[in-house]
Amino acid sequence: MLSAVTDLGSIESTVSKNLPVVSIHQLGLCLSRASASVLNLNCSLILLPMCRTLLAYLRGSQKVPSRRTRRLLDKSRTFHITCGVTICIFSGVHVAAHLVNALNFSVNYSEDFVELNAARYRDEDPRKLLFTTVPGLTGVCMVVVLFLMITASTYAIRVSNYDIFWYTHNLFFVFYMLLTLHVSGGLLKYQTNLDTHPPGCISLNRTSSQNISLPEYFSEHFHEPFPEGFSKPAEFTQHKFVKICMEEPRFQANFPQTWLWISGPLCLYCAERLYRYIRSNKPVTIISVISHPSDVMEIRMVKENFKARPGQYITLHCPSVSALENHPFTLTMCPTETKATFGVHLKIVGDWTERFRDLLLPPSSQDSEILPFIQSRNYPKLYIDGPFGSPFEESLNYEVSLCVAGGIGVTPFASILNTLLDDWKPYKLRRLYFIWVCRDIQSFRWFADLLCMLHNKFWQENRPDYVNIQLYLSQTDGIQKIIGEKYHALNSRLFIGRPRWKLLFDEIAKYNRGKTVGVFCCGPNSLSKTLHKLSNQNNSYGTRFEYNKESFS
Amino acid sequence: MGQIEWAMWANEQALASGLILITGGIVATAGRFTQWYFGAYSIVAGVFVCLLEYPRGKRKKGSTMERWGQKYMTAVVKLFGPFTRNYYVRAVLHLLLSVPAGFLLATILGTACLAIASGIYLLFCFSEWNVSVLESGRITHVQFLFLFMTYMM
Repeated sequence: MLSAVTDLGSIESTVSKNLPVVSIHQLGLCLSRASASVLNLNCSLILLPMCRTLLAYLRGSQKVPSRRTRRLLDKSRTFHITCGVTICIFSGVHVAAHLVNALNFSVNYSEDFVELNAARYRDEDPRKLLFTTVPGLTGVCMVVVLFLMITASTYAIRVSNYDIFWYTHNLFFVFYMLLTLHVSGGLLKYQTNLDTHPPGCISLNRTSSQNISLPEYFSEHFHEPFPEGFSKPAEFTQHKFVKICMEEPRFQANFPQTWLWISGPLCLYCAERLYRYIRSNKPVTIISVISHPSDVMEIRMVKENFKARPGQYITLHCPSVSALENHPFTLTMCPTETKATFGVHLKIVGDWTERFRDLLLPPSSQDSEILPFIQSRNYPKLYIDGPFGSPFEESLNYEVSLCVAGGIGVTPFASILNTLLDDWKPYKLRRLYFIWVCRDIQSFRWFADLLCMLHNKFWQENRPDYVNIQLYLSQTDGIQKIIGEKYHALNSRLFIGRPRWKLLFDEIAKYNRGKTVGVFCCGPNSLSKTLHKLSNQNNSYGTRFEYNKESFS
Repeated sequence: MGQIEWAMWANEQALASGLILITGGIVATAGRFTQWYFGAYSIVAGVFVCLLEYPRGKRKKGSTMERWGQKYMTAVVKLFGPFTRNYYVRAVLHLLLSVPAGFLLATILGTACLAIASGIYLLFCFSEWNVSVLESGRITHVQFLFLFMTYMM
């Protein structure tokens, strides 16, 4: 907004310096230039939140010590969408202004300053102007590309048909190429020889009537105060014979500013994509595939030089399943110094995961948990991209954290728990409240062993209040206990029914007075909204709840 | 790729093109371009397309997110019966509506966008047709007519 206003102001003053330009087009020029400057800014900024490797690096590096700055990185997708909407709106303004300009160019063709005209002759059909000039044609193509991209990016399409969104959004590269051509047309010109041909000077080989009409025209159409250095019309009519032109005016096209704006982020983004491509070109080695109840599959793998922090996610690409699709999964186990294995838990929902499971686990053995020894180890080639950052990494940096998981949303917290199992002392975290809500009792078996081990470890180290586990079974029919003697600790922490969040928040506030508690939620949207609302409410114990929001599609 | 439901995207596109037509029409009539009556037509066509496309159609599988307040418009749209329910008719209707707006510079973008939306609806119809022919093994008389025309060409 600010750039539009300042540019509008500067355009008005530049326009008033160059009279001939004003006589061809007035408001249309100002609007189109102002919206162009807004578009310049947004087209350059919109690429920055998409450099995910760079953002993950910034999140983890010591150069960003403030938690507030790191939380800004959580909003990168929202920022990208805001820039996109702004581009959409201002493109509309820009196109409308240019349509008016095209008409004005053809109707008000100036015979005095032939170089400044965009039209080739008077009353040239504006449609010809649009389609036969480079800026016109590239502009029309850009609007069509933008139209396709924006209609496919609405929330409804992303939720139902992610493929359409993904494939059309890759047209952004065409858009940028067209944009670089669009500004190279050289339509806007500035005068290069202002000293030998100042504006309003009298040319000796022209009749004086032509020049006398200019001041009247000028005073009619301009009522704003003139910038300093430019004489008023009253003075001007008195001194009209003073300035004499030495030579004809010469015009040169302005250097396209857009190239300066978009070259930086575009190069950065291309460099990042190249780096990600080179890094993900080597396939991973799958160590084991484990089938869990409730349609969940765990894959453990190793890769050279792969480092990840707990809470980060990777994208899996399996050409045998689908040549073009990438799917993101949070790491449930990160590689450590002693153990290079890392793993993901996938829930089988949708055609890609179903086909992936059929490739990894032959259908005959899917029901049983024990895999037969004679199974051949011909796993398909799997490529991973990442790791990319997420807000859940921050849970280790709060003194007290509340982590709420819904169903398969437990995966980011599983990597946190695995890390705590390894070594909890290097992190700032001193108390973790872990709440896991599931519909099916069998789902708890995904990480029941991990939770039991963690619980035992902290009891051994005499820190029983470090991890507070609460499991909730939201559907009340069926089995209501985790089968197994070693799960006694979990069964005593298992509640039937939905959690009562207000009471929970009050309890946590009471036991952690005056502290800042980080709230993390990975689950359905309704759960996320409830927790966000509760975190923003005040409580009488002086405890602050900071809600860290993760945005999925 | 074969499982993409094009109709939803075409619906979003047609709604957006309706808005573009309205905007272009306003620019044309306000600026008093030559042949500004095309601009007036474009506003009317834009409003009609927006109202027709506002109710989001039901998806084949999965839940459909309804637009806010769409049930009032759905009642009106349903009155026209097969003319609005059938996507073939919608595709042809959009194509015909977009042509007059193409004569004026201000609304030419609306034409392009509505034509693309009509194309995507046609794409959906053909992909539907393929699926239904494969599934049922029988073809309806409309599909037979299309087959006949393509054979003649």
